[in-house]
Amino acid sequence: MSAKLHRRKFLRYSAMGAASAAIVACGGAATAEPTVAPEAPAEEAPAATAVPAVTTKYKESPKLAELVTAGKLPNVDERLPKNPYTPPHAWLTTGQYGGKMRKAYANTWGIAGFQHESMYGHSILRYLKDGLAIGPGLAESWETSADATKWTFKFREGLKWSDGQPWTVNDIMYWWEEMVGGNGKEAGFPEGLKPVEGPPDEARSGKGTLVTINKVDDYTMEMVFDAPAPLSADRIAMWTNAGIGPRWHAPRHYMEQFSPIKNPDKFKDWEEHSKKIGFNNPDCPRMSGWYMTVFEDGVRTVWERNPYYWCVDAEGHQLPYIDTVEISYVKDKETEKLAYLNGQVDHAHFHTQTLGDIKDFKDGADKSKLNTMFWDSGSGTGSMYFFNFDHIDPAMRAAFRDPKFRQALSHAYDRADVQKAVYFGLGELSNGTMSPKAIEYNLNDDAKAAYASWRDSYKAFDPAKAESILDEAGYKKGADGKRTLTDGSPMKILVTYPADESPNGEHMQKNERLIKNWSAIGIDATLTPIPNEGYDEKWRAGEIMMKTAWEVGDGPNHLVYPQWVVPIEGDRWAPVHGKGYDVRGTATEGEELDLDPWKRSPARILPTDKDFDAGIGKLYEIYDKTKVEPDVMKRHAMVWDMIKVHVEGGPYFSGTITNQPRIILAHSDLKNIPTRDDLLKEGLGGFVNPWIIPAPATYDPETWFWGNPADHA
Amino acid sequence: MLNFIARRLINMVVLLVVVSFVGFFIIQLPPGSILDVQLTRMRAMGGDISRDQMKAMAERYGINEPFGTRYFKWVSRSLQGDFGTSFATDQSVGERIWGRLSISLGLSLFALLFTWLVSIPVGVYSATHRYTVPDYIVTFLQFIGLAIPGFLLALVMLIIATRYLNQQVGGLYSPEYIDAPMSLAKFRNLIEHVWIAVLVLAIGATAGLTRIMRANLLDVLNMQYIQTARAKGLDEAIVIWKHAVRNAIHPLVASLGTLLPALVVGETLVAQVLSLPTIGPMYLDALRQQDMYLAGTILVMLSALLLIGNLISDLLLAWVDPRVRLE
Repeated sequence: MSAKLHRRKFLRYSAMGAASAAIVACGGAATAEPTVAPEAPAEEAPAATAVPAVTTKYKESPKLAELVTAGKLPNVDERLPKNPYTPPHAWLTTGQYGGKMRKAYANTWGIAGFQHESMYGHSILRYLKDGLAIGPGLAESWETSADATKWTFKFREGLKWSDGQPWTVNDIMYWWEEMVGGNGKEAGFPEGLKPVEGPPDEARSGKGTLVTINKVDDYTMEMVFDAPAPLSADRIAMWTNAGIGPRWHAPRHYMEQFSPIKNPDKFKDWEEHSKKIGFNNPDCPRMSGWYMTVFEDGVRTVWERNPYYWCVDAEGHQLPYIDTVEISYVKDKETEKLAYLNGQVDHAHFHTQTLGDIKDFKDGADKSKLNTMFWDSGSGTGSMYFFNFDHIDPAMRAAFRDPKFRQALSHAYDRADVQKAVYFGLGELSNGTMSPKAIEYNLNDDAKAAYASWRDSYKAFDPAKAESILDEAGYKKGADGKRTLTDGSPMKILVTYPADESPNGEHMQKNERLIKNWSAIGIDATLTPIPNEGYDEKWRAGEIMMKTAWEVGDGPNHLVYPQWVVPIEGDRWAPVHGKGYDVRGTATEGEELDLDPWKRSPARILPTDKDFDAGIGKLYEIYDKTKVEPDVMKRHAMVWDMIKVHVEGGPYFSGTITNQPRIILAHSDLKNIPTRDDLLKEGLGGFVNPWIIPAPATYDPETWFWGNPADHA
Repeated sequence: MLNFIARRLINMVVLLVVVSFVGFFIIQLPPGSILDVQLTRMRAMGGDISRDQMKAMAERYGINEPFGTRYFKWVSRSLQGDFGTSFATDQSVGERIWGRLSISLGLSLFALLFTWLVSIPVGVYSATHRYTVPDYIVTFLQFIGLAIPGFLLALVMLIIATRYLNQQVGGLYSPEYIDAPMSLAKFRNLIEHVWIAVLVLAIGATAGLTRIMRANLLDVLNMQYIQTARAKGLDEAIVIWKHAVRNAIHPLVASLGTLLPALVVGETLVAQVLSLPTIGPMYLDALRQQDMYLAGTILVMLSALLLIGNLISDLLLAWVDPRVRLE
């Protein structure tokens, strides 16, 4: 019995699909009249030789039309799939073709990588409305069985790679079977050859076993799990794929020749394959709106319009509008800023510029022609701090595990002061939560209440209250005015941070104020840099007291990456518990049980240990249920239960503010790039921090265009 | 002579093996790996990588292999001309180094030529006109040149160039010339972009070299054979250029030994500031990101250049100064 799951969601998608189909159909109808739209093809067709003018359903860039007329390219209808995708945003207007967009990045990886992060072209599904909805991508529809064990994806018929070769489910199967070794194919790999990529989270069921992926036909894929896998669609929508996050598909027709499985005599390992599939190889076919044509290491990359890109605007113009994207390499943040101010850049995403730079950008706008815009970061904490819940020293650990202690220190922290000094008064004060954009906070009134309860817990700045909590809990002041641990031994807190942290950055500015606030209530706290090398290893072993230079931004729902809410790995607030969860079901689980948790390798606390925390136990219990719960509303309710644990036993991690804006720079002539108001009308005002919900790809740069393309040749 | 060169070459090979081993060992001493760099990037503001994916990546980069295995893999491949893959960009190491070598060498040679052409005559002038007003001026400028760090000078000039001369930040060409074939106009455009780098590199080096030249020449000028030459009534120009300068130039020739590696990475700081695509900044990045094969290959390349440079400078010295014996 296969019923449609997530009724609401499914209805919404169907409506959306129908709407876009209708739009496309309308666009098609409009084009059928040859007199409409003074498009270049229409102008050129009569002027061209005796070739009979072909009336196409869709319209294309004049540059491509020239190639079509010259016989170098099939016409646009043949290049597009049967049902192209149309970006649904309300702010979009019909644009015009042409021009070049210039960007700059201070990152060797970034000059190719950040452009991939800006394009949704490889995604099977995508996030819409800042994560509140999931929309189609390469797949035009998808459905699941009632128990969420079987998922079926229907892809767009007639999709093509940038070299014109057809894209089919075979390209997914190539990735899954021959790169990941899924469907049991790893056993057939040549001796000694391991899979080049690992299976992503969405390839495991709630029980943790791997999926079987079946090709039904060229455009239909089936995922069959042994247990419910309710998050599959949410997870597949994450990332831009094809190199960032799980790859999901690869151009089989091109990559096969480099595969050590297909050519065991020629290739003994994956190196050649990895080089060829990497971002920096211009020859590898892509599915994105632009594909790279020039890669100059440490200099620049150039991206040209993909003539086979599978998206059109509401009137049937093939996207993207802009011909070329050029990304220059600059050495560091300062030079990058200088390049912006110097007018060498048309669009800049927020990666390096901070709120402190706003004044320079506004002052320099005359020369740079850049508008300074703001999109919401979606950060849940701003700069944060948290103690090592599993610190190796039993006396300090007792304090870090004592909710009273953490609550007192949270009340002693003057968040408003940091908001003013570091974030220019922006954002909203918060105890620290997951991203405020998360669906579990926005869905309905219950959701909003759950969010408010967590956000407001222990955030009030009240040193007197902090002192009385500490006094009552037994952290008395000694003769020197410094507080001691409950057993009377001295308490010395090392506010640890990675040694390369910039002294003027947000984290260090916050840390200095933290020290001051805590000293005021008699806590002996010292700033302590720790070398970056090995920071994580020491943290996992419980040897470091605090992490103070991180930020929570995870969404769009709590369960796709629940690490901040539930300790299931070793880098966040309860690392030794996390490692214990991490080894579940592996051979390591039953080993070294007679040893002290911190003497095990890796250090890990199991539910059977006396150091196992009951609150974390409760989180695990709920979390394990969410993994196999097909009903989305029940899952949300479980998340709210987990939030209760955080409110009662917390704060496990402490933030400063939420949702400080990020700076987006855009040339004043660049159209269709949404403002925060546009985003607010459609979604949540922006959600740009996390890589998994990849801004600006979520706002379709392929639809951006130049008011005067001639000025941007 | 041939015997000497052969012996030196054999020594060089042995030294290179040792250097590559020690170097490779040191490069991967710090804990952490390229995986951490990539993981941090993904995690910084939301998102994570699944355990399976990390395992596959560790496998691919060979992170958990023992040191010996990695070293021998790298060496045996390198001997066949394949220096491995750069983790940061998934390109072959050879390709990355080769792509930047010409710019590095060009820039450094240009700066070197400038340095020598300026500092030798100025040094000579300054020594022969000791304690005159021009000497004081030259000395003053030299001390300024020595005192200002190159990267600071580069920053200041960069700001001046962009603010007041309307120049581009970074890169070697203006956008309109990048794809154009080489022409006089394109070459001029190149000069417009690299003059800051050349100047900054040359100012520091010129200052130092002029001081050395001046001091050496002053020593030589006090020697008796110079007095003899003058007493014989030789023309002053011949006394200075033929007899004095030739003997004062030895330290410059000896310094050639360190010159070759400096040609390749000497401009690191300046190139770093000016965003020039040279080897220096790439080496720095490779070390910071634990891009082992790239860092290791550059390290061995630099060592080889140092050894070759020393050999050449020894040979040159023997040629310039007959007192030096090669045996």
